[in-house]
Amino acid sequence: MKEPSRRSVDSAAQQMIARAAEDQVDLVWDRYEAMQPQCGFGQLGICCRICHMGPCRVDPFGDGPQEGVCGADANAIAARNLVRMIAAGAAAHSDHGRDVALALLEAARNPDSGYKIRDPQKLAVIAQEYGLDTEGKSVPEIAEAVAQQALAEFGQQEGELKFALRAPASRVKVWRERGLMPRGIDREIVELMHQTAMGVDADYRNIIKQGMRAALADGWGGSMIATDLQDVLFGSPQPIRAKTNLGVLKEDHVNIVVHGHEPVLSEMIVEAARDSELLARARELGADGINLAGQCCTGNELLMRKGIPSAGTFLHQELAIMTGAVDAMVVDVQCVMPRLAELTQRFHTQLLTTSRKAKIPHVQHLEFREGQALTTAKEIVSVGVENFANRNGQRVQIPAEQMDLIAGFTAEYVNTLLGGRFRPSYRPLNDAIMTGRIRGVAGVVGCENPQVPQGSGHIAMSKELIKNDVLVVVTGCSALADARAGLLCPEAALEWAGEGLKEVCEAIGMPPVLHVGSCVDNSRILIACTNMVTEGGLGEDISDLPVAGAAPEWMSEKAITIGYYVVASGIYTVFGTPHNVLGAPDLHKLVVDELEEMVGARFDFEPDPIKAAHMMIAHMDKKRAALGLDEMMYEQAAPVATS
Amino acid sequence: MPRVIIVDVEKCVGCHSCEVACAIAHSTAKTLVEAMQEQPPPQPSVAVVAVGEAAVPLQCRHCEDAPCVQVCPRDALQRPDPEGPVLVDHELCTGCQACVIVCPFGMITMSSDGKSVIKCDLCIERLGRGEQPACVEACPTGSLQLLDTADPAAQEQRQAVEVIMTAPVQQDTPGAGDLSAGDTGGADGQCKFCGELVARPARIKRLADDLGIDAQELCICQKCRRARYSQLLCKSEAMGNPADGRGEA
Repeated sequence: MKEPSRRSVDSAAQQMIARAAEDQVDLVWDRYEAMQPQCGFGQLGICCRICHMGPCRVDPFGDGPQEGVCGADANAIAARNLVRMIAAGAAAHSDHGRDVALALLEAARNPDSGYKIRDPQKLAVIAQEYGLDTEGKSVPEIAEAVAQQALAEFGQQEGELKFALRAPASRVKVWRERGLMPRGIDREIVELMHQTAMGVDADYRNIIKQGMRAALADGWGGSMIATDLQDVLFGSPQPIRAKTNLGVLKEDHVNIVVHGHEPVLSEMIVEAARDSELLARARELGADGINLAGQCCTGNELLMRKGIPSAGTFLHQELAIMTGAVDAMVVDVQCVMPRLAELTQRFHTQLLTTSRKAKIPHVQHLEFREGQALTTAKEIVSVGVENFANRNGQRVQIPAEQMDLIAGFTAEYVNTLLGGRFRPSYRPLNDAIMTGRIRGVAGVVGCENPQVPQGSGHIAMSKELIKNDVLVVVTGCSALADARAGLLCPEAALEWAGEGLKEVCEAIGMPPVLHVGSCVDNSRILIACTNMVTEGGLGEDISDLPVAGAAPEWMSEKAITIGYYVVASGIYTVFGTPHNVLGAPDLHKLVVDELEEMVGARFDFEPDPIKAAHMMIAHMDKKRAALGLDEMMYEQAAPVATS
Repeated sequence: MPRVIIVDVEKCVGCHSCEVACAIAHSTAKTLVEAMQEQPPPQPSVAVVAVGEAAVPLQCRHCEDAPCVQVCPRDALQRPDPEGPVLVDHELCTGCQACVIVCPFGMITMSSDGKSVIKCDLCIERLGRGEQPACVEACPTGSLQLLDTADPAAQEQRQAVEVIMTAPVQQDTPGAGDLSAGDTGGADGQCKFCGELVARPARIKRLADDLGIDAQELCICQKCRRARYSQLLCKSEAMGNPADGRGEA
């Protein structure tokens, strides 16, 4: 598996992988290979480290123990492990949301913080939703009240999460009846941790139930707060042209890569990179300017709001360093590989950690403080600028690849996008689906994983879906993988989309694959689905819609959380590699079958992206038939199954 | 060149990964995910046994003069290649368990459907493809190694282990569980250590006669045989193994 082409489908990545091999630098793929074969007990989810009577494991093949020391069977063990992944993922997204709410509070109270409220209209809408009296109040006053309301949702002990009530009435009813309605964000996560502690819950169905509740507290809580308050604080995205891939790094500029997940700091770095003194210093040192590039979801946040180019996805983080052209890599939280510490030492690159939650031994830490956001940001940029002087020009090797893309679609923007400025509405989208021009909508999201050649799953799946007139929405690493393949350009519709989708894309000038944001922005997909239901004609609940989700290259706990809130919201979802449940037959059956009865949707596991796309399409066809929608307008590459 | 799997007891952390890998390698699909769904489920022929605080992975020694081959009434157990492993022909095997009773190491087991016995084949298919046996490859700590029998480390371990045919087990052996009661002589076909029924006395006598050994030698149940085997491996380890460069721990 040493050949670069088996590690990534991206030619820029392949060049850097080859370079690493020449330089005898270990990359994530090498470490993955060194880890083979991986522990079967872990993969099957049947090892338990929850108490110190263990570790325990259930014997999947032999006649060894079938339960742990406490008596927990494979189903209980695997379910506890799985939902603890949900708890961690929900905590990660939601803590991100909390930080945004705190930044909004800072912006409202401290005029010197550097933050401004860029979308007061969205702020007003949210204030109204919270039932706040805005009459005669200034924007900072409203912002302060909204931030406090949002923060209260984390510690709320009773009642229901405000944003969960945005869901269609019939979905809210399902949640209430099944005991899935989240009460407070932190509470659901804490309760999940308690429920899975030693000697508490042994019923895998009940464990998964609370897992879904915590996941919903993320999707319709923490993540949604993150998305909405980021829009308020940094501006709601609108379609914007930008570029992605390693080619966005510039040989003659100071290159600063911001990597991680939160825009709270990186938005300030954008400001700081425009500072005249820092620019002057950069020129003094021989650079033409300061080039800021994003990575992972911090990259997505800047991409969709500011058009800042993205240097790539999760598996590009080491490859960006391999160009030898990155003067500083600034990381905040999540998906940052600790290995960057050693890798950056092989080049001149200065790695900077900035979050008190995420440090790496021997790496310079410049802690970001919301109160002095701009000052910290300037310090950080200054480190990059000064380090330009240490760059060894002979070691710089930047792949030429960079691809145009359009990012910045939101649930709100779909109104204008399809309905036009004068009659903004979801009607045209619903009509296109009902008349058989569009077969359905698919969300292809999630991470990258060295188990799968980088991007191969996302790109093949998206292409297969749009070929079959399925409109695709993407977030996170999936979005940027598709972007590298050119799928986020309007022209992609002409080349790859089926006839029906092509007509819609051509009429509007939109790409067949819509970039709807970072990984917390999967909440935008939930709202878009809700809007489709509200618009009418496609059923009463999200589970009636001809829509499906997928995470073909997932790796993070966050992906599991997203999967469970998406399914608990009524959306059928296909993961590439299975969740760690296969060692637990009853739990496995629950996840891929019985959840349908509980929440109107379930999971499937299918590593082949084309087969997975066909499973999603078959699901959409089933929903179309149930709704009695028109037949597809044009002949379909993957024909509608006649049952 | 004949090869043998040797065990570095001190490196084994008891993760049982070798067992899982063995079962997968002997499944139809050869992948973890699909092997999990197979019926009957694939079974491992390596077993990790606890010896006091240590864990020891055990598998067939592929004895030079293998008792299982000698006693099989159907010639289902054979060594087709004189330098290769002892293999079971599952078509011929009737599941009579004679080999199970005579294996000095307790490393032959019945299949879950009871139709045939299961034992280590040294992953002969994988070896043919130039790969390591699945258990060796899966071992995260390198406790298992496939060596030529001429290798000094392999020879030492083999000699130490093959003492098993004659060596009495010491009564004061710590932590061996079933063995600590000591040799009680064995009677009525019961295990001389733990008293569990091994086979009918007449059958034991017949098998012992076939092998030309004392019937007492066969009055040990599979669990106690494995315990004895793992103890011997631990002892050979304690003697120090110059070939692996670690010396004494």
